[in-house]
Amino acid sequence: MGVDKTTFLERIAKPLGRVPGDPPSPRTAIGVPACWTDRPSTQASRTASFIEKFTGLAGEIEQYASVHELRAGLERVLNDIGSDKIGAWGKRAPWPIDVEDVLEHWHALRWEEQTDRRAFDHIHVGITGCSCAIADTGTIVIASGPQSGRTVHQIPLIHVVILRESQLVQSLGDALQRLVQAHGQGEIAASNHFISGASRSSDIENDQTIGVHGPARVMALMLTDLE
Amino acid sequence: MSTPHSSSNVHDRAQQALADDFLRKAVHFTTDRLRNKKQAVTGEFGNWEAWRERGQQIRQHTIAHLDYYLDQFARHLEAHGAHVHFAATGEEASYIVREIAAAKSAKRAVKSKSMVTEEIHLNHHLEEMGVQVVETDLGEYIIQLAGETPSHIIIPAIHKNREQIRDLFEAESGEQLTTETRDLAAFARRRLRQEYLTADIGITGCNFGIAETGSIALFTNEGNADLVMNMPKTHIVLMGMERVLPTMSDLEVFAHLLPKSATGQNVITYMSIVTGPRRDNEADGAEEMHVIILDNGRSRQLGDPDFQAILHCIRCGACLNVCPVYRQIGGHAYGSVYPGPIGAVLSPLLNDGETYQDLPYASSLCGACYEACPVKIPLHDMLVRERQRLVATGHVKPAEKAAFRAFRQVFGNAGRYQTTIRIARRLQFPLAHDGYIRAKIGPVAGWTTSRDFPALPKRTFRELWPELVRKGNGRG
Amino acid sequence: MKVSLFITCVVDSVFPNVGVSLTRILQECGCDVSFPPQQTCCGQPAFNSGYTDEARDVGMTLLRAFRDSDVVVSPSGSCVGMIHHYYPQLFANDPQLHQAAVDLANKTYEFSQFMVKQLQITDLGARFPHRVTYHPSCHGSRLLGVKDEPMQLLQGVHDIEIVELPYATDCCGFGGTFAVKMGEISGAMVDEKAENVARTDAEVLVGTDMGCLMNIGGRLRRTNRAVRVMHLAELLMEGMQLGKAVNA
Repeated sequence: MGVDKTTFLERIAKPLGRVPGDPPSPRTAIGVPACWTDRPSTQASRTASFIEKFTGLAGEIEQYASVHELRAGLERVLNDIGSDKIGAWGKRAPWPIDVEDVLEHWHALRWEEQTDRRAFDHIHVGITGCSCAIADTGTIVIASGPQSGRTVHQIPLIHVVILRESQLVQSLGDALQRLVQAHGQGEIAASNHFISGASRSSDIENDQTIGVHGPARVMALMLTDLE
Repeated sequence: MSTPHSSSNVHDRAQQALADDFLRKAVHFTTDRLRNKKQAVTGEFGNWEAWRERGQQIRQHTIAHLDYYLDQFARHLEAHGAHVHFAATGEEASYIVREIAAAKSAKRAVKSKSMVTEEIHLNHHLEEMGVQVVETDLGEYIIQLAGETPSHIIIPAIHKNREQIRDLFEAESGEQLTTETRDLAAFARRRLRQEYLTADIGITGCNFGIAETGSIALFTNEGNADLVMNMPKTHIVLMGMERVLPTMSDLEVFAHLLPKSATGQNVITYMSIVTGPRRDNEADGAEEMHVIILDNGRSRQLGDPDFQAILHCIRCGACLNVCPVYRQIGGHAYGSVYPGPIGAVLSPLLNDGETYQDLPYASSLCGACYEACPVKIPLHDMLVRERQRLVATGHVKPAEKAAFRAFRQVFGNAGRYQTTIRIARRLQFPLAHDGYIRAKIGPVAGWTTSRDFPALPKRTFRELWPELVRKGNGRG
Repeated sequence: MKVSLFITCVVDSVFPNVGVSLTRILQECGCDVSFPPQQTCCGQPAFNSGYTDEARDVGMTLLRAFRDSDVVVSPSGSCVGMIHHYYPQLFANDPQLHQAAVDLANKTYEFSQFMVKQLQITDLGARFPHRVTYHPSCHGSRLLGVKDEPMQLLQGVHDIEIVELPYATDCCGFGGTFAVKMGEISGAMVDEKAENVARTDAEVLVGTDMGCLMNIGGRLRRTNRAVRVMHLAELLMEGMQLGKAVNA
């Protein structure tokens, strides 16, 4: 049952006075208004905005001046959390920074092509990298991949993200354009997650609560890799 | 599924709602919160009118070329390995879902909040064939347990208090729970996690389809849609055919307009962009993805200059939050899946027959909905046009028709008008006391039940005019 | 300036003093005021209920009445909004009438709009030593876009105490035939509006549309709230008289 695509589209085209398949008239208004594109954006302003927005959404952020310090920071964070049920992206995942020694030290469960998702059902902490992060909205962007399973950041109560300051882009649009490029190259990920803070709901008497389905804590460890 | 307000007309349902103090307080509180947050966030964001303008332009262009963008969207989706289905009616869409469920021998399905699945009563159809469907949005889960329907597009369980919610959760689980929000939410997390793990099918709606890449964009704050589409082996997307956008650049506009308008959030917590099922080398994500594109009365609005713009709607619920009628009666009184101003306009357009004919009258035409709409849909004008349609097709009471015939007679001519006023002045004599009328009789009872009506004074303005003009002109 | 009054049916028949105040203010401001007697009503009750033919016949009285007028001023944002927004489409089928409708829309102003935007007067030398709250009417502010002008005129009044009305922009529940057809919902809306007015402890509620004010006033009276309900023109006129008396 259902109708075929041709019939379905004809029923749309006809009342619109169109011949199905005809290209649309040229567009004058695509994407955001000029007020949004005509903004100054510097590395410093992006960093400041990201931190403000990310923490405004109850995200926790630590900044480190060197890879060495970041690794030590990750150690400390995991120590403070005090759980040994840790899951992380695989070794060959697109990690922005190498934190392998820490993950090995904590015997983190690693996501591989052949991983049985159920093995991750009980992790408390998920550690991932990200493809970029958005200054305007405090958003972390994560693409799914063979070594970067979605489960790693969706299942646990605590999500730890490793990123570099140089991965910050200004706007949602900047991040979305990367998907368009990836699509053009036949490489768009099956799933791209734009995560802004902790899982939240106000469905019970308007009282906001966190960690309803996704993580209740999102922590970003950022390497300040720019002057 | 039934609703607690299943009476047949909006008057009766409104009466019920008006008598429900908790409901009214809850609706006031929730809509106040949402609209205040919206005002704050859009004020801080700035240039809100420019964003609305842009939103309207993009939706206008998309709908005017909908066949093109849907075709592009479907081709890209298929290239990414998704199955695309087209359904002319709700029955067809339900049938397609049932066929997929049967092919997968599915026993259990999880769902994230989707108005279009409510529109086609999908849960009911699946349960009939023995597939257990569990709603995973916290609010939807609550009302599913209560056997009710959503009363708000964004906050479905607006009408339930925490004691009722605890009772529903206890009855479902046999566990003892407190009424603390944290405990109730933790229970839902525990409980629903099991559902994700055992479900055969995940069903979601679609906030936006992106033609340029063949992607589905889903917005949630809880993160439930991500689990729904990634954990079960099969992911089914139900989307109204109007939900498409041409490009990712356009999505950026709506990624701002939607959360800001809906809940006053600067950004949605989770925006997930899904482009096909899991790739061959991936170990999670749905193995199979089906996208069902639904018409169900939408194409009838195309080419109609009065109503085509209703397809611009992005289901943000901002019109509910500012509507003074919704504020008094809540969602169930509308008696339709879509409540509030959008429901009053959309329900009679999508459904033939008399069921929703009284909804266009459930508005004072104050225009607050239009002002709040992020894509500038003139809902107040559409309500008038729906009334025009009802008059033109004879779907009005004879008494009303006679009244407006009289109105035309009297007010169509100044002389007749004057005579009528003189007569009325005499006739009102037994009813008027102290310059006011309180009698609850005839057609004015609707007014006088709750307020006084001023009696006609001794002289009209036009009777006073000769004196005024003699004294006044040429003074200043 | 030659000004024709469009008095509206509600003001003409129920609240003539609003028309009297409007006339006197315009006269004080040096306008040569006329009242074309063929006018009755803008036709909005029929139009909003979906009766376009009926609305058109009634609206014709205004097209005829104001055919030769230079400027039309009315004490109702709602009725002027009707002319601005709906007349051109209401008379779209007849080119001549359509032109007349467009012409009328272009020369018609709501009272406060005319005072502030055309005459550029915000201080009439009025004095009004009372606590006043203001209800902005939906059609005047949203449809016609007259948002600031009434407040500018109120702020030009001496000795006045203006208190903000909570939920000021929420509809009072009038909506023409809505108040009768959906009486129970409308009643709940006006009850909340009247409560909000009472909460301000204002002595006077002022507005720019008698439909809304008749509604809110009717509820205030029913619930025994001693709040005086006035059209902006009435308040200004009374204030001007007091102003003159004080300065004399």
